[in-house]
Amino acid sequence: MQLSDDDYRDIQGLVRFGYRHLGAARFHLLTIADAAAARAWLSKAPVTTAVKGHRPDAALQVAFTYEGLQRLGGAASTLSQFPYEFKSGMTEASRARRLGDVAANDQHWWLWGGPGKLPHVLVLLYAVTPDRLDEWEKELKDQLWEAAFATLMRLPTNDTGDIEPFGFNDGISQPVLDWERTKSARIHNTTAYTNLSALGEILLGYPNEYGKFTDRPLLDPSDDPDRILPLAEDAPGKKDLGRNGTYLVLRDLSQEAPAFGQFVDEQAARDREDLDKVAAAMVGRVPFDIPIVPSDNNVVPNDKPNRTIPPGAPIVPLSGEAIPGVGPDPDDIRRNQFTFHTDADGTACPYGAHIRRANPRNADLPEGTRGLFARLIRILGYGRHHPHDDLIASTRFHRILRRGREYALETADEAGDRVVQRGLRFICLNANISRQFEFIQAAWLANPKFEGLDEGDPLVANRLPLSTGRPSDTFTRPQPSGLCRRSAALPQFVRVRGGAYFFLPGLRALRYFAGS
Amino acid sequence: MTPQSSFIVVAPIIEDRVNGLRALLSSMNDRPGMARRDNSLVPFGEFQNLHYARFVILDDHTLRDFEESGAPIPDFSVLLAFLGDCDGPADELLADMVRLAAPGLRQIFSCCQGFTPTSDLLAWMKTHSQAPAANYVNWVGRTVKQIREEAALRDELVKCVKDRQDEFARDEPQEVRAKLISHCQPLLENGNISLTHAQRTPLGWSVSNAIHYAIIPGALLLPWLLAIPFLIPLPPLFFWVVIPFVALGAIVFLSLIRWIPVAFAVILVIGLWLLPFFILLPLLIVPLLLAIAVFLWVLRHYEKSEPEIIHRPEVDQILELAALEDHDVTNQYTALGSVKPNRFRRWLFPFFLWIIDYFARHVYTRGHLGRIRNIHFACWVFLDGKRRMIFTSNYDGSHEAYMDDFINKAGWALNLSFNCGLGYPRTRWVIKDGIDDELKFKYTQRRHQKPTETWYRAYPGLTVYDLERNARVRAGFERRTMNDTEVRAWLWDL
Repeated sequence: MQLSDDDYRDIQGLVRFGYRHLGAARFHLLTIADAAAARAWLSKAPVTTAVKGHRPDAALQVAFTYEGLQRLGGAASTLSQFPYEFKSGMTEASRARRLGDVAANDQHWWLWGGPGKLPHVLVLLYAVTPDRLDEWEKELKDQLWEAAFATLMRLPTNDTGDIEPFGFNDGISQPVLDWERTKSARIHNTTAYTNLSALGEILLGYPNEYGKFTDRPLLDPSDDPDRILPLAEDAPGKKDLGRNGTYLVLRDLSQEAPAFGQFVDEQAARDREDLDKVAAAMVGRVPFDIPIVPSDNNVVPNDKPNRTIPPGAPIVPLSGEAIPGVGPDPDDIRRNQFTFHTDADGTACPYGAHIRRANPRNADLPEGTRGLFARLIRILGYGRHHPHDDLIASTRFHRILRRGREYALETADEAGDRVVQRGLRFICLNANISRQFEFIQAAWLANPKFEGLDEGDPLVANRLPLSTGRPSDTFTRPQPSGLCRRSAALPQFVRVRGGAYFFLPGLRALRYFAGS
Repeated sequence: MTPQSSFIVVAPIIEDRVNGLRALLSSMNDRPGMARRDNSLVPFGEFQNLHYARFVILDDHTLRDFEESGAPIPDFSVLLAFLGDCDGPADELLADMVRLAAPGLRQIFSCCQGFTPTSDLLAWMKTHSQAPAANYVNWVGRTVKQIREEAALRDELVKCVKDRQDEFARDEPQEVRAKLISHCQPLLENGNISLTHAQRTPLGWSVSNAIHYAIIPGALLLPWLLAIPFLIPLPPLFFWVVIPFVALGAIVFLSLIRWIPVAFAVILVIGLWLLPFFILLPLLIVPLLLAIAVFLWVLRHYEKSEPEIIHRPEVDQILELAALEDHDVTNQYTALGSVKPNRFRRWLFPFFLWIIDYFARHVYTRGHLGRIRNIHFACWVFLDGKRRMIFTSNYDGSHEAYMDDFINKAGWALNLSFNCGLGYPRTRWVIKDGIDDELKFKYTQRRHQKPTETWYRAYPGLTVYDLERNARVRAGFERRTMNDTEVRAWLWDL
């Protein structure tokens, strides 16, 4: 069943577009001061939808934390149907430990999201220019807004041309959603990586990669007297509050670009290697540029003209075979038509490289398993070709849609000198926070035992030692000659400064909450 | 080779002592749920052949599920279970425990019914011991001692590589290996690192293991044996049918053992030999097919008609369980559930678990259970006259990742082992569906999980993969020569 126009009108546009043409963006973290006023503002808020056709010059998206939905007056019987990770939130102690939000990342240091600083509503504003953004914000912040909300935090962003502060292209690998719903719901034991994700991996109310519907609040028709909500596809007679909605994970990350540049510089000098090569090994892609010490607020690092490999390209060879969901754009093919299957020893792209951890690009069974007999043998756990076969979970169940924006804020340090604080307002969308965002963060990025290593992600890990005291702040690069080149004492380059789980509802669900 | 065994002591707790016992057990921990190796009650670290151990209070809050399936709610008592895995016979370990930790164990078991200050501790533990319905050991024969020695060897090699990184960068791989070996040789000689040779496999264990293994091949050969009266005189086509199948079997066997263990290939080939039997004596297949048809009909009847009882776990329960997890790279899992309340399931469950146990014992003995490579030990134990069961395991990584592995890498095996459990998602033909309903499975397993009050692991910070890799490193270290490709692979492990 294909999506109807009603569905596209119901989906917030961020899910479908990402608004790359809207370079200016600012996010408001609000608490609800007056629930009635908040409902009134929300009921008339011009939230941008996923309908194609016209390119808006400004966009508005709205999302809520669990506490926000409670404040809005959502019925307890409805809200209790949300999954526990959304209800207990990003800062729940066990979760924080698993996500690596301890020590320097501890919520105690967070600017927002920690105890007493939990937002209720997230308002995301986008516009073509900073001026238009100011105008747009003024339009929206009417008297009703002022009465309804108190601002907890404003998160400005900067248009850095999708170059994140360490000098890499950001967000260039994204799953492609199966909007046409052509993907079979019952596939098992795939043997090839695909970049095409079932719609239900991101949007609630549709089948996910298991061919099942992720749980979300389903209401009796009597709970929706105004008949606002759509019917649930999988539960006849039930109204679907989740349909066309998704969970938005926001993490405010500050990036120590000077420390990263310095580290790369030192490693390059020590190993007598090219700067770019060292940085590329850590990320798995060719950098755009490595600014040694970023100096200017709005700097977009210059591309080097005489490069043989274009920035953004992976450091493993491209695959000769097409990958579903990659292309036809030649840039996309140059950047994403690859898997790590041909680099089983990690000599081209280290196992620990950021993009290899964040998206291992594998299938359910090892790539290249052909024939019924070979499949059967693999399913029984035999016929391994490499000691690492079967170590990594199948990628297709752990994808997220990234919608983050960079920022660079100029502040003064204690001595009054100008400091540029850079970072990423990391945003991702997913239908199952624990299976998608949390899995990627905990089992792949933060996990020191990923692929048999003893180290966290070279970019984002918190460098805490294991419970045994064994350090995790190394970075290992297997060399073609056999030995591994190991860098030690990596500093922490990325710190978490805030974060929360939000529900980004469909517009009908938004109207439902606004009317409750 | 020293085989591993598990000990399982289960006893009902005196009703008003449950909370006190919970507090007592948690006093053994230095982090939530994690036992101190030198805790004053049971200093687990003293036992050099103990891999894992746990105390868990089994208090089932899901018994109302019986009502939903139309059966009366049973009155099960709250139990204390003391489980663990060790090298060598479990009885010897229990005797060691009595020797070194009697006061602590007495204090713990004094909360149990029937234990008095004058009870003989060892005898009491033995009378309350249970045999596992199924038991999985990641690598049969790998001892705690071996694990520690191999980890120390690799640490030393890695340190040497790190210290002499610049020097080694100029050397050929073979030279590097030679230098590494000569670096470790003096350390081996003066005892700073040691690599003890495996002990001889106990004869009794080998014999009983072989007899146990023979059950399935024997059962598959049984039709031939029973048919001897029909085979005299030999049917006219005997040699024309049997000889090609014997030859085919030999070819199949030789090609199979390239992929799967010999123990498994033998079973498959003997199974294949049933075909000529039924070609020669086609009438004998009728009762067999009839029996299978009846079984499948009954099975499908139950699969379709039993209610599917799935409830989401309460947030508080999840938080309580999660608080005990991810303090180390390895985690514990204990689940308690009931067998579906009908005779068919009560008969079927032990049968399925016997199959699981058989394959764990004879086939999956080398580092993986199906495609799952992160379980150190796992154990299925029946309680209360096979009316309920606990499942315990020690696994690497997060709980969510563990469950995803179950679903994506060994779903069929999980369905096989738990489809008779009350509250398991509805299966089809035993191994289909069930766990494929990801969320239903995740809810039900979490809801049946019990907080492990105290848990000991002998080698923190080491995953199954680490153990396997360290063993590879040691094997490469002890080899006299290696070709260039092998040396490269060996160096990558450092």
